[in-house]
Amino acid sequence: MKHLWIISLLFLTLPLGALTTEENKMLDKVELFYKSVGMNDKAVWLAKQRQLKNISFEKFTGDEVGTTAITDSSDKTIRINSNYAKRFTYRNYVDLGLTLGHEKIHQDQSPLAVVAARCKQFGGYGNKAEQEGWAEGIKIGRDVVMKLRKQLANAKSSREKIILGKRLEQAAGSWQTLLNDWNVQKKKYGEFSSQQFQDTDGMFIDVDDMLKESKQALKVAKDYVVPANSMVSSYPGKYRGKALGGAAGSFNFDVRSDYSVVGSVSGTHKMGSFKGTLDGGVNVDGLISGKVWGTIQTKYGVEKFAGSWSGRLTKTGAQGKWSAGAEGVYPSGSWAVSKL
Amino acid sequence: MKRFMILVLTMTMMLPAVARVPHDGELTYAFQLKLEDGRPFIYATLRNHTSAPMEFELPAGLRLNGKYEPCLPVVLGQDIQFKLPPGQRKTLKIQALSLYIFQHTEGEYKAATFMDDTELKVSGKLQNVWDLHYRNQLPADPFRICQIVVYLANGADVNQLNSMYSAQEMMLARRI
Repeated sequence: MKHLWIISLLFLTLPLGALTTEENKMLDKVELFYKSVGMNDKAVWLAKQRQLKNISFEKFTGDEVGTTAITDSSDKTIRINSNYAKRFTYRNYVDLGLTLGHEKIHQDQSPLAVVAARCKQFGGYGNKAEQEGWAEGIKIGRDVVMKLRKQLANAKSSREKIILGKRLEQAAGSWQTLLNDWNVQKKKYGEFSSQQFQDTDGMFIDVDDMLKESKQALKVAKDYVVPANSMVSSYPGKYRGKALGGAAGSFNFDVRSDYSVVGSVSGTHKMGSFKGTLDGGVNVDGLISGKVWGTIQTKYGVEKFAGSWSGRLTKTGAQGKWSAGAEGVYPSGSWAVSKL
Repeated sequence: MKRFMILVLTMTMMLPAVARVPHDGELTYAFQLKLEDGRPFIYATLRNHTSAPMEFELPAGLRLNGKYEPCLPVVLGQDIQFKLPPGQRKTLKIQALSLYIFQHTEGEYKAATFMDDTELKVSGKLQNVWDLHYRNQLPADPFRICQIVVYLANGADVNQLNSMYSAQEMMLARRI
C-alpha cells in the first residue's frame, strides 16, 4: 500500500505532457519526416505542439483501441496511441505524419463545430469536421508520395534510388491504407464533395483516382527496389575467368558480402610471366574498381608492378579492363569472368 | 460613396460561404436560457469573425449546460441552419428540451464540448423526428415527440410521461 502511495505521488509530480525518451525520439523522427518531404510548416507546428506540451502518448482502451490519435478541440491536446511510440520504421513515421495532419485540422476547428458535426453524424448526415480531417490526411499522403516519386526520378546513385524506392513503397502503402480506411469510414462521415481534391494540374480527382495513383506508386517503388536489391544481393560470390588482350592468363576474384573484392591475376606477357593480387570493391550499381599489384619475371629479373582494374558486374559475370602500368612494358588488357 | 457601398455589399453577399467547418475564433457564440410559459428557450447569439459569409448548423440534441447552479442541462429541440454575413452577429431563438421533468433557471448556458455516444444517439433521433415532420410523416407535434424521446433516454418515469402525453405520442416517440 505504501509503495502504491509513493508511485501515485511520483506520478502526480511528473509534469503534464512529459514524454518518455522513446516518445520524444519518435516525434523527432516525424519532424524529420515532414522536413524530408518539404513540409517544413508541419515540422514547425509539431515542434510548437511539443513545446506547448499539447501532445501525449497514451494506452488506448475500449472503443479507442483501433484509433491512432484523438484531439480535444476545446483544450487543443492531441493524444497518440502509445502503440505508435514503439515502431521506429519509415512506415510508422508516415502513418503518424498523416495522422497528425488530420489532428491538426481538429485542433484548429471550433469546439462547437466539432460537437455539432458529431451530432449530425448520429442523425445519419455525415460529419464535416471528420471529413476535413480525413481530407487533410489523404492530401498529405498524396503530397508525400508525389514528392518521393520526384526525388526518386531525380536520384543519381543506385543507393539513393534504393532508399527512396523503399520510402516510396512505405509511403504509398500508408496512403493506400488511409484511402481504403476512408472507403469504410465514409459510411459514417459522408462522401467528399467532387471538388475536394485536385491534382497538380488543378484537375479534380476522387478517392478512386488516388487509389490508382497509390497502386502505381507502389509499382514504381517495386520497379526500383526489387531489381536494385536483387542486384546487390547477387554480387557476392566467386568469379573466375581470363585475362585477355595484351596479357593472357587467368583472372579470378571473390566479391565478399560487404562488397569488398579480393583476387588474383596470372599469365604471360611479352615481357614474361606475371603474378598479381587484386583488391577493390563493388558499388550498388555493379561497378567494380580496385588496385592490382604483383611481379613479372623478365629476362632481366623480377620486376614489381602496380596498377588498377575496373569493370562492371552483371547477374552472370563481369568484364572490364586492367593495367599494371605503362602499356607495352607491363601487362594490361581486358578481362572477363563468369560467376560460379 | 453610396454606390460604392452598394457594390461592396452586393459583392460581399455574392461571396461563397465558408464551406469548411469554422475554426477557433472565426465563430463566437453565447447562449442564454429564457423561460416562456414555463418552457425553456435558448437565445443563441453567434458572430462571424471572418471576411466571408459563414454557413452553420446547430443540430437538434446539442447539449447545453447552465453556467451557474442550479443548472439543469437542456438540449436544442430543433436543427437550426443559418448563414452569417461577414462580421455580422445574429441572435436565434431555439426551443430547448429538458432532460428531466424539473423547472429550469434562466441564465447563461454553455455548449457541451463533449457528448457521449448515448447523447449523440438521442441527437440523431431528434434529427430523425424532424425529418419525418418535414416529409409530412409525423402525425404529431415534433417538439412534443422530441421531448418524449429525450425524457425516455434520461430514464423518466413512464407512468408520469403517460399522464403528460397521449398514447399515440408515446408510441411515435418509442418508434423513432
